[in-house]
Amino acid sequence: MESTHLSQAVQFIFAGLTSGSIYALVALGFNMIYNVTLVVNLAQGEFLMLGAMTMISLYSGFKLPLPVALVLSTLIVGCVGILFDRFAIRPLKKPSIMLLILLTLGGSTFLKGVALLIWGKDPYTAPTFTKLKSISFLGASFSPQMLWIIGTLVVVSFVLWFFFERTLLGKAMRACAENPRAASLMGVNVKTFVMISFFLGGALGAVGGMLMAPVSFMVYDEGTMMGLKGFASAVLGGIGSYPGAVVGGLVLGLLESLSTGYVSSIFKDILAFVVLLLILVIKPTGLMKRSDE
Amino acid sequence: MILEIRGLTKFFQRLAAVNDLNFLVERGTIKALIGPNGAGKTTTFNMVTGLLTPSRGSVFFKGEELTRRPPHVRAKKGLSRTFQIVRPFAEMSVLENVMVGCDMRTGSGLFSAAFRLPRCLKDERKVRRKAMEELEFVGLAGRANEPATSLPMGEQRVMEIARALASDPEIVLFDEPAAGLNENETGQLAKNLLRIKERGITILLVEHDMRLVMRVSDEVVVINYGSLIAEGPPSEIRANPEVITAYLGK
Amino acid sequence: MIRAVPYLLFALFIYLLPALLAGSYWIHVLVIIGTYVIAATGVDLVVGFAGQLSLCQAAFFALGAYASAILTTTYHVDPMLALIIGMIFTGLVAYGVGAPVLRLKGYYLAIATLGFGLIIQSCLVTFASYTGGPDGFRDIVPLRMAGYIFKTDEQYYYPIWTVAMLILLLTRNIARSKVGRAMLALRGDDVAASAMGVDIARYKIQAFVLSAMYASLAGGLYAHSNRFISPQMADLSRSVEMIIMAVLGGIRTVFGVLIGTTIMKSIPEVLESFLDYQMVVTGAILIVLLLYMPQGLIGVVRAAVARLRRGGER
Repeated sequence: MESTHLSQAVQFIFAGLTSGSIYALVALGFNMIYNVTLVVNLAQGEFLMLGAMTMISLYSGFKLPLPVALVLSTLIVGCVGILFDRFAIRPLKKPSIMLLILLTLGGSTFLKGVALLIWGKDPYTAPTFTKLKSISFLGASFSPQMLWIIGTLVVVSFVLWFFFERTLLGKAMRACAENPRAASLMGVNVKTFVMISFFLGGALGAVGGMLMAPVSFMVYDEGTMMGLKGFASAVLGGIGSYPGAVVGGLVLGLLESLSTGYVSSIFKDILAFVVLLLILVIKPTGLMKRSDE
Repeated sequence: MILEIRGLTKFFQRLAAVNDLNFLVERGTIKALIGPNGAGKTTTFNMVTGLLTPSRGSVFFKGEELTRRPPHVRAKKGLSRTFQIVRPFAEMSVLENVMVGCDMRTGSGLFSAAFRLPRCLKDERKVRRKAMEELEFVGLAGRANEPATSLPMGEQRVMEIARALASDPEIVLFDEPAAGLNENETGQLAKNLLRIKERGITILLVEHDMRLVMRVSDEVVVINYGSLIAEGPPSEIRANPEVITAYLGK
Repeated sequence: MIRAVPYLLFALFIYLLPALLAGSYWIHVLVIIGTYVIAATGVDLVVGFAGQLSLCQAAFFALGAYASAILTTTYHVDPMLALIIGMIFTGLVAYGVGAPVLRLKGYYLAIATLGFGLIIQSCLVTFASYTGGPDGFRDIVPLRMAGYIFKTDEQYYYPIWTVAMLILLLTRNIARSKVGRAMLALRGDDVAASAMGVDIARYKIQAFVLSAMYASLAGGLYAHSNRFISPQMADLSRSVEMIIMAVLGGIRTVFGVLIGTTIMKSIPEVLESFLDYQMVVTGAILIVLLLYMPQGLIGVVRAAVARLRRGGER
């Protein structure tokens, strides 16, 4: 009896960490673009969907080896990110927050529409990256894909932290958001940085989508909900904060799986947004940031 | 005393921008608040108008404490202002901009507006007339129907004066009204300030232009590093060694 | 008085239109356009005038529709009364959400309203015993007024367009009053507005609640005329569509809302095989619109006329 309770709890926690890691990856993508351009990209979820769909097509359709499909999809969606900036954001003459939100929403609808034309309304899935059946731990069993997901999150967050905190290029990119004019005066090429950040944002989204593809079904409009939950995670942790994105994503994933497991699955999709609303109203700066005076 | 500043203090990340500032403004006078760059003038100004909440101290207006009341409540009580960097309402004509200043003096609301009830129409006429009067007072009546943002900067400043006056305020706070004006326009501004005073309206003026300050003020407060260093009539201030040092730097 | 002429001509045109289109499928489309004009007018008020980006207007639309459907069909309340109860209910919900949420700005406000919309949509799916769940609510009681039962699109056309034109008129009146000025002022510069005595919290709430009530009314009318509703109508994409309706023609203008709504609701009808392309086109319209003609079609025409005149003078 005791052990089934324990194994059940472990099962819920791992499920939560798995989906939470995906949310965290989406949230990192949000922050990546936000920290350089101050644009909150509501199409981030579509990058995730495109990543998964492209990978599945390359792997199952074109029969490319898995590593090649993974790398190629990441590059392709990264380029979609660049095009997104080039055609939907950059032509804006007088940026305002309202216009930017609506533009990224328009971009999200457009990308969804393109995916609908290419892949139709059918759900797709991919095989797990490793051919192991399943792993048991404390009586709970889970897909090996989970290790890939959590492992990738750890690696990606470390790389991002290192890049933005320890490298000159990373620091310059951050300065770009804080004061674009000063940055351009110092010889920093703002346009290039914005391009890089959208490329990385798209690539990060694609990574999340590809990791997710083997453990769930991907449909053309599946990205929207993931994007919004990732955004909720980013807000939860404090927009712009990389550690915040990771914590926010994991907290949200755990909350979802534990509430589904122990209370009711009714709340699964609502929960993220109830939490989001509460955080916004009570402490808009998020859990991880100290609010300024 | 129409305005009393008592022990006003504001910290920004443990740095005191304004420190234990005390001064009074007498009804019907023009008082100038001056000081070198970064002395805390704008911070003080924002605490008086309600954009910033003080860390300590209080603001009394007509004997009533307003320290933590939002700007629109202060405006209703009779405290109006202009802005250092002009802030016209976009997508509105000059006249409509000034009408916004007057609108809080009328009682009709959403319902009577939707059905154009007589109450609303009467208020509309009243507000329009008042706004036109103020535009005439500042000499901008000819521009009434032009989009506010199409005016040159100098005229936008003048429009802001009309907008501030349209609510029949008891005190108007001017935030560097001469910044960016040429000599001619500054002269006109000085005349306008004195004419506003003649109407019995008190003025608190934050200003860089010493000639303007000396010409129109009844009293001057000088602050430096967030604290008061001198207070008195212009002639005294001009001769005050501490003020001279503060301005010339040491 | 002369200014009223185009409006009167327009009303006349609207009332004569069914005679020209007798028996045509377009009457059905026009009924849908009429209901969405009501909702889009609300969007124009809260987004165009008050400058508050609300991304949950479709949720308010759905709340009105479900309130009306449940009250009339499940509980046999009179449809007219149900419409009013729905509006009051939605207004109260909007007030409850708006009071804390409208203190937020920019991204935060947009995300909060978006999240609220999703919560409503989820609730409509979840509480299936009342709402019919994901399959929607079928066989909604038709509208009934003094014993007369509305059944066909022709019969719905007049009441819906009368309500739509009334809403347009009332909103225009509000826009040209102190309330409209206050909303425009807070949209342009909330700091300056507040300093000029505009109670910005109050006007934000007024715009938000009023727009929610418009959406609710539109939703209720839609529920009765269409007789079927589903949680899909609360979707974010529908809220975005409503914003396009308000912006496409020309924001903050009566005819702009009419033009925008007509275009958005006609496109899928004109090209029936268009269904799969709808998303791509909607997204593309939004992007092009915001980037290259933020003042909408009316703005483009006005700019062209102004250019011609200037050219003529020279």
